[in-house]
Amino acid sequence: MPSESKRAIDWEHIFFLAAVLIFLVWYLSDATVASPTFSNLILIAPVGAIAAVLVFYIGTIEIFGHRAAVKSVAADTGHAAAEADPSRFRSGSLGTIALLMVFFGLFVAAIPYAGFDVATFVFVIATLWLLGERSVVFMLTLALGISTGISVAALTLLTFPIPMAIARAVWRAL
Amino acid sequence: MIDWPALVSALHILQSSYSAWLLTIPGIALGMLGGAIPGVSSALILAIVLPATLWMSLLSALIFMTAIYTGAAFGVAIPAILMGVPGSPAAVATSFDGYPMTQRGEHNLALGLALAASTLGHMGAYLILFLGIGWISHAVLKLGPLEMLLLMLWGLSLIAVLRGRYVSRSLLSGLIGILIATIGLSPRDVIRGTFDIPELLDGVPVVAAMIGLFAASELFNLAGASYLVQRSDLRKVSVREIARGMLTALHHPVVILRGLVIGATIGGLPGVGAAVCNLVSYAETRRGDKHPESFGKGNPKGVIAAEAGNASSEAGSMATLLALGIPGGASSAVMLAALSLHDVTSGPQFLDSSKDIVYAIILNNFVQGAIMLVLGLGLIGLMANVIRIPVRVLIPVILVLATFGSYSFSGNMTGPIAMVVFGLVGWFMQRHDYSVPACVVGLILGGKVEGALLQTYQISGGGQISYFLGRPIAMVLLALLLFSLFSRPIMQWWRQKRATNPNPARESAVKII
Repeated sequence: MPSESKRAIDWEHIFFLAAVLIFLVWYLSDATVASPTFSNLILIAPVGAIAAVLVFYIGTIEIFGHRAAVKSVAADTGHAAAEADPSRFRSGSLGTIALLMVFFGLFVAAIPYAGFDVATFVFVIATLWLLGERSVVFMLTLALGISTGISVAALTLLTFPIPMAIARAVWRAL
Repeated sequence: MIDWPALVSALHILQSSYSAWLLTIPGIALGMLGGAIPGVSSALILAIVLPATLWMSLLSALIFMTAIYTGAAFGVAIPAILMGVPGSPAAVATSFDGYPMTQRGEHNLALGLALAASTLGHMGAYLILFLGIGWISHAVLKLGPLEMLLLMLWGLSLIAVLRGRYVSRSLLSGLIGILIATIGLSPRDVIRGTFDIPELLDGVPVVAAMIGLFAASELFNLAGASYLVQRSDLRKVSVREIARGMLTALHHPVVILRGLVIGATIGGLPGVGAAVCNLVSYAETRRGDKHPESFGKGNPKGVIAAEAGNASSEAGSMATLLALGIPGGASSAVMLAALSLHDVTSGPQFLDSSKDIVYAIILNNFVQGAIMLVLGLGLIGLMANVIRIPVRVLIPVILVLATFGSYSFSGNMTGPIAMVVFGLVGWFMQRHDYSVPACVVGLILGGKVEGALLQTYQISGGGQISYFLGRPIAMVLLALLLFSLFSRPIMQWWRQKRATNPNPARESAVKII
């Protein structure tokens, strides 16, 4: 077989499908253990079964490399994405994207401990630096502005408590 | 159909209610600005102002809230167009063509199209409501859970089939969305998939998940880019271009009319609302167009259809709320709470006894449309400047705002955590061409689909086919569902067959010649 008709298997896609399948199996078993009644599974069971079939179908195509067949299906979809936008993942390197995700995750994880105000301040500075901003004055000003704005909005608009480290005390003092 | 004495009384009420008029402009501005922040939907703004309406008269409160609703209906389109981030499910379809237009530097035109379509859709739908509120209330009563179920599945199938690059991956996305929506306490009080986390008993916070899937995943993609629009000459904000977009929208009256009829009717269905209206309007416009392949690439008709469908759904939702006392969506649910704050129970009795108030609200909404046009033109220029901001500044600012929005909606850390998780999932989905909108629609409708399915099963006596055969509307909806699911594969198969096996009769004719 000519080498052109083959292509490398996208293992990242296979891992993604495997994660979806694990979710499906876990959720169906969890729901069944919770209550194996018809009324409990009336939607989950058929939807989960169809989803599992689709996972195997997509995975089979991915592994056995019937890309041409899939492309011919895509070509007739009439959707813009059929002509994939090569610039979609143009911007940053995967390293930058991964670091942004980590920063964002840490920001959310820090909110209960550092408060919305301090976490926001640190997150804005870290992200600006990661994405190429090098003006310290601009970074500090923007971070302070955003965290102040968010804190004021939280303290005046929300009727339930939101974690704050400094802003609440400053607000009361004012 | 028009109750003339009530209409005259409504005009008198409006003439003497200065406070109601004074609240209209700030209400629209508040809705527009709030809607423009991803995650801050009209329901959230309405929930925040709800306590303040206690000090207003019933009419002032309702007008203020409908003004917010009106402004937000257009406001959510702004981030959808400029950043590809719909502020709420109501603007999902707007981003399909609005964002590609922005990437081409046609953001001014797209915003103008959206503003005109929103305004005309809003006013047109209220005209329909004005003329036919009595008929609408009767029609909605005829839809049972089976029809609701099929309608929701139809909406979901449309988005899966029309939006995705690969139908199989889009359908899988939609199904996964449905399953995630069923996490938590079921309608039969069964706890499913919560990991014993009490916060998940109410289910996955849909708004936060939606922000994560749409906003966070897209922002991750943008990391490293300089501007949303790369070419500097395309980043200009031009009121003239916005006005040109508004005039362009007027050249497509059929698209607007279709959108407002779809919005006014489907918007009136309880639980469906704007989230489905914009998608159905978009899908129907695409289906009827001579160049359906241009949709999703920045076709102006896509923006017009989505916005007309979205803006007009408010009138439909108000019809159901006032006539039946059933909220069409989250926003009208908050409005229902505002009515109860004033000791008013909406429904057939309210409609009968307070028709003048209902007419006053409708008449005020005609004026709201005109105000939104002027106010929108003034504020769009201000808000469209977002594309002139470097991406390295936009990313942290929007992520922080979206996190705040998700916290505001959930009231605890569940929202922000869901946002992070679904942001990562959304990024992987985009990377492997899985339809994020299909997953979001599944997430929004999943719980309702299960409820409707259970109700249908019970009402039909355990799934008796005779129940289905006796409901012609359901049969039509099933036909539409099957058509949307299988028409494309069948057409595909037919084309391939023709391509590989040309007409033998014609071939033999050619041989003879």
